[in-house]
Amino acid sequence: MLLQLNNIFKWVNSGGQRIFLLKDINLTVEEGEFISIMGPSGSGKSTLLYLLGMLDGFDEGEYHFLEEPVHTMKEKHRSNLYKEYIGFVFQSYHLLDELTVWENLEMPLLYKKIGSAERKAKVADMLDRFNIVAKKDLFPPQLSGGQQQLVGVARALISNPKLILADEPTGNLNSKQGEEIMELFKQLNSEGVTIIQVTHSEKNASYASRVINLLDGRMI
Amino acid sequence: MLKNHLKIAWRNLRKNKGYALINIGGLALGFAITLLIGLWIYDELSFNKQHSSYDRIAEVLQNVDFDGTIETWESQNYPLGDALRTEYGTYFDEVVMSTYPRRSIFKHGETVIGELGSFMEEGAPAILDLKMIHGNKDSFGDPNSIFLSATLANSIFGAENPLGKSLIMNNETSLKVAGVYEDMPRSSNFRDEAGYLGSLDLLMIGAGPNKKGWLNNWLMVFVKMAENVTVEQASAAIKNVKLNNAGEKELQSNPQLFLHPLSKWRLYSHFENGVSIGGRITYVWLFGFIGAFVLFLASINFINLSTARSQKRAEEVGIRKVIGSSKLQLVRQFFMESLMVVLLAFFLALLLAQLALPLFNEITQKDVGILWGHPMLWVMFLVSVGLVGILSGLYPAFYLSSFLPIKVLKGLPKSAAGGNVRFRQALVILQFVVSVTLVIGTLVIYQQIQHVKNRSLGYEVEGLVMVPMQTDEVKKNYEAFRNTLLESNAFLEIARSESPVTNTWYSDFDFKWKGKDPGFRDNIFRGLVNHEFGETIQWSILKGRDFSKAYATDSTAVILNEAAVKYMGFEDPIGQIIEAPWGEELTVIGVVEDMITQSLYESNKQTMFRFDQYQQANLMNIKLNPNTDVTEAMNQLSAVYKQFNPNTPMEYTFAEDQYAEKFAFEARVGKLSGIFAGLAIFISCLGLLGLASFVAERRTKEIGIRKVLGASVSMLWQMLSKEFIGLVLLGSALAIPLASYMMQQWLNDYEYRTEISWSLYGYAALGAVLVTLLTVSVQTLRAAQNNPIKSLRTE
Ligand SMILES: Nc1ncnc2c1ncn2[C@@H]1O[C@H](COP(=O)(O)OP(=O)(O)O)[C@@H](O)[C@H]1O
Ligand SMILES: [Mg+2]
Repeated sequence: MLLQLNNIFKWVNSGGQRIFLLKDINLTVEEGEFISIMGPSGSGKSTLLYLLGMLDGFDEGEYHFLEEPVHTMKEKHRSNLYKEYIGFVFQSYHLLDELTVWENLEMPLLYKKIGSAERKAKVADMLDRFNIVAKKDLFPPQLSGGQQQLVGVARALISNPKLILADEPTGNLNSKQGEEIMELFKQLNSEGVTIIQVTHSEKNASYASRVINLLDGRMI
Repeated sequence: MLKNHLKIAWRNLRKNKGYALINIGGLALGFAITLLIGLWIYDELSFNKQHSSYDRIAEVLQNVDFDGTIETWESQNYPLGDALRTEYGTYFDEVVMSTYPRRSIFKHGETVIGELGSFMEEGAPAILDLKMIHGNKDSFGDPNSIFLSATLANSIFGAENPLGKSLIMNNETSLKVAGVYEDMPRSSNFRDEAGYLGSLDLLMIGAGPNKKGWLNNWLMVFVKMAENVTVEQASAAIKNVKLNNAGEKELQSNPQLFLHPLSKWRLYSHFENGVSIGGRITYVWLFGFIGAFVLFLASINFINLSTARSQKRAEEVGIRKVIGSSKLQLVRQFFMESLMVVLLAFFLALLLAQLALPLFNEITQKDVGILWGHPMLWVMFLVSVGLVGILSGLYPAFYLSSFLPIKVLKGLPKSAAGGNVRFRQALVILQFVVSVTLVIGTLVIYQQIQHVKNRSLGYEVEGLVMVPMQTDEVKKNYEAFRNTLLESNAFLEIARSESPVTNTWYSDFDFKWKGKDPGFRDNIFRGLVNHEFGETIQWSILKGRDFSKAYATDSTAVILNEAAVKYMGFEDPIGQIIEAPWGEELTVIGVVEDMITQSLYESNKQTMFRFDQYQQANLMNIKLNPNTDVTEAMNQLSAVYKQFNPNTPMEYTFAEDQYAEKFAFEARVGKLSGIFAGLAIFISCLGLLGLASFVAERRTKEIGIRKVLGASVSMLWQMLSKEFIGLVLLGSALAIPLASYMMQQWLNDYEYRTEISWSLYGYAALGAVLVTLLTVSVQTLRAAQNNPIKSLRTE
């Protein structure tokens, strides 16, 4: 078991009213799963994804990651866990525009204080694997959307996470580019990486082994 | 990691070149100004400090009472030195009398050179802290020998060792060189005094009783206090030396002696009613404040611009957190970045300051350099870079790095992006308070200078050349020289006087005249002149007549100025008899219109122009014909002079230059404050620009919507600019009372002063508004012209 959510509630208070963003979420994810989260806009998909990624908190319920209770964990411990096991991919890529492709890929390794020789090897390996060696000295705005998303995925993967969380990773791409990313996910999944993605596309959702549907913050 | 941070910082700067230029340039400018002002202050404060007995040297001054107004005089009489030595010897290691600096002419072989120096008593080397190059300090004081400064020795003797060589002073006295000393540093009050040093005894050979008496103040007296004696103790002891020795009767003015220590000469030499009320120290404070303010403004500006900018980096913060950055790492990154930028600014500032030094030295008449090795520079470096770096890093470091990444990455409400608009507005107001105050200050200074320039002089300075008669040769040949000059039509008239008409400082007291209140302690300034003087300077006789060769009796004639007539209380001045303190009866033959013979800023002083019957007046006043070329006339003048006086080099001054000297200091202060005002405005504009771009960015969407709804560019421009005009008007409104108070204080130091007109404030405020509009328009026009679709799509 990779992670487990029990009776998770999340809300915000607005004008004296409690607005629920997530209601009574129960979810167990095994290692090696490929899950798609679907639902209309505003239904809480991103909120759930960030919650799983420990970037956002919740108000009620329990969250266990690799048997450890995330809800009672100290910030430092949680961020170490996060750094170790989780990679994020965004719809709008969120690369650092001032850094080259190479430097973007290197960044997470720097934060993990990995030595220079190992960093070089890993980045080179990743460039090679994603077929973007020729782009290594370019800056993100010089790349096409598909290429940027490739870098985004490569960056998420570079520190060997167990879990990749992707928020509409193909939302800004054309169908061909989208397909490439999905193929990539499929392959990573077959290598043992757990993937949870948010998507609007039935077709992309079908790459997953399981689909979770959200409506008004509730799983249906 | 460090490399990575620096790289991203550098690329950020390069990507936003304009912003980087404004931001770093502005800060660098602020640093540079503060650095220059710091150097100026340092130089002022360390004046004379190189003296090895800095704490023990003092000058003996006296407070004299003229009917209620106490004046502080520097000049003393000859017997005082001995009196101090014999009666108060325990207080002083040295008592040294010295003449005022006077120009002498030295001749050695073919070389003839004129130089300023003094005649002093034996202890001079200790008082001046002489550093000998050749010869022995102790040999000073022999009337037959002389000490020379290194520069003078070099220009007379070249490379050869001058020791023991002889030279001729003023064509009459042969002296042996007994010592050569290092030039006095520029930061020494003795610099003018000590081009050469002769023995005072030489001047006293054959001196009459007048020169030796208690009534004639013509010397300065310096002392080196004994160890463990304080200025206060010594001052208290010597207070009544003159009264005790000369007797109150002869000295109605009740002279009270006191010591003015070397440490105060430079900055605290302005006396009013007998007490020191500061002096240049006022300007030290003023510039200190300006420097601190400029640094403050530039720093806040920098912080303001940096933080406004850092809003843009919220996304970066989110990404970095998502890919594993801890908060601490982000804090470190932002601090490092701001430190790097501040460092850049600091080094740029050093460069700017170095480049500006020649100009700065010219304006301030100084010789300062950046004190690379001085710890103060590096303390200032650490403090300012550290402080500004930390402050400007503080906001992004702690505020941005505490962002929850989802906030920025999910693109949810950008509430945070609003930032502290109020704070920024307050800053702009403050900046304009300072800038407008400086602008008003500058304008008032210029108005005051203009005011005194417009003051009627009462004589004509234009084309008036003054040449001192330094040797007997010149005095002897005066008439022949004059007649030869007048043959040429380049010269209108030549006359003799004791003092230059622009600077008539000598005075006499204890006159008697009809109607004088017996208790009245008079002091009347003296112009010792000959027949042609009035004609030469073109004064205006109001009553009676000018001196004339037609009247033999004019040898004891005097002409009073209007102020003197009022001072002496004459209803009908012509024909009045005035008894001089030396017994002569003087007759008033005319009244001359008041002339500015002293300060431009004070009322005219009572002055008596006396006919120079004993030919003591040793200054030639030469009036050039306004219709001839000045260079041509001066060439003729020096040729004729040389022909008559081959052994005395000619020195000359233009009265116009001496006149300009009178407001040179004010003009310098005006120039400096003008520069500071310009820079303050410039820095303030940077602040405005920052705020404007910030506001325009924040309102991009609003602008887009308005445009879609049909707003024109000019309507949008108005809308965006209005806000700023309000801020600047508020700033000006606060500055006006402040500046008006400060400048009124400044003007109050001048007896003859201008009135600050209301329109001046109006111009200053209007100027600020115009500058604001110009600056802000750079941003607002751009924002208003943007394609609305673009800005709406970004949301
Ligand atoms: N911090 C918050 N404060 C208020 N409302 C929020 C907050 N976070 C999310 N929401 C709201 O919760 C709902 C779900 O958001 P989100 O998870 O982004 O939806 P989805 O990704 O499914 O489109 C939206 O209506 C959003 O506006
Ligand atoms: Mg979403």
